Amino acid sequence: MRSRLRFAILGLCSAVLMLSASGCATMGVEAWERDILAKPEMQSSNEALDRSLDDHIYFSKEASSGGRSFGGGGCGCN
Amino acid sequence: MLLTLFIMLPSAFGGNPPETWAAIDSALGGKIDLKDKVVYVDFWASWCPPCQRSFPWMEKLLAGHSKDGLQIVAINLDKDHAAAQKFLDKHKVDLPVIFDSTGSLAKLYSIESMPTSILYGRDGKFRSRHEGFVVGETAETDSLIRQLLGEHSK
Repeated sequence: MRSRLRFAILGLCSAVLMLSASGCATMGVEAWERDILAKPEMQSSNEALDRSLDDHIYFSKEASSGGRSFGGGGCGCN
Repeated sequence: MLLTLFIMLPSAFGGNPPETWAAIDSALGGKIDLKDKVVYVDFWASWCPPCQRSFPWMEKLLAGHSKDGLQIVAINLDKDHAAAQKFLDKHKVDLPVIFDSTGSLAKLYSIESMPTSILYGRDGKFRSRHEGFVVGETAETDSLIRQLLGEHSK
């Protein structure tokens, strides 16, 4: 009986967590609303060469890429 | 496992594109007959560089296959209609364009990045969805379009 109750509580908690997490899916700017974010003046740096050098450092030294103008920021283009 | 579920849940409910081109047909208002055609729907905006680069390819594609039954419909998502018109005039774009400044079609098709293209077969049913555009990497799409053009509607 107790194990059933425990299982039910666990299931309920999981359902609440999943629903609250999926609620975030609709937050933020939609892909077609990024026109202002896509403008050059909205970039974190206006020096293209600087940006590419920084990106190379992040990629080669820290094994990370993205977070600039694709996959979440900037114009949302590929 | 829970984390995976959290990540996958929104996309699971995000939905596939509509199974038929009925919404596109309705937005066109009967100006173009899509029946028995392979329909390539392209969501784009004037401020999106890959979208801009896709236009010469789409125009070439249409020029080569319009007689075979290919129809391209470009759906513009600019909020600024003047910016979209300026782009179309500057590049002398000769494709049917639907202006969806409120994003209603984009929401219906769950657009997550641009450009996004949707392909419907001659039977009017959804066949493929592709996100992004890279010049020189269109062989797969070209091949799929040729395959769909070769099919006969039921």
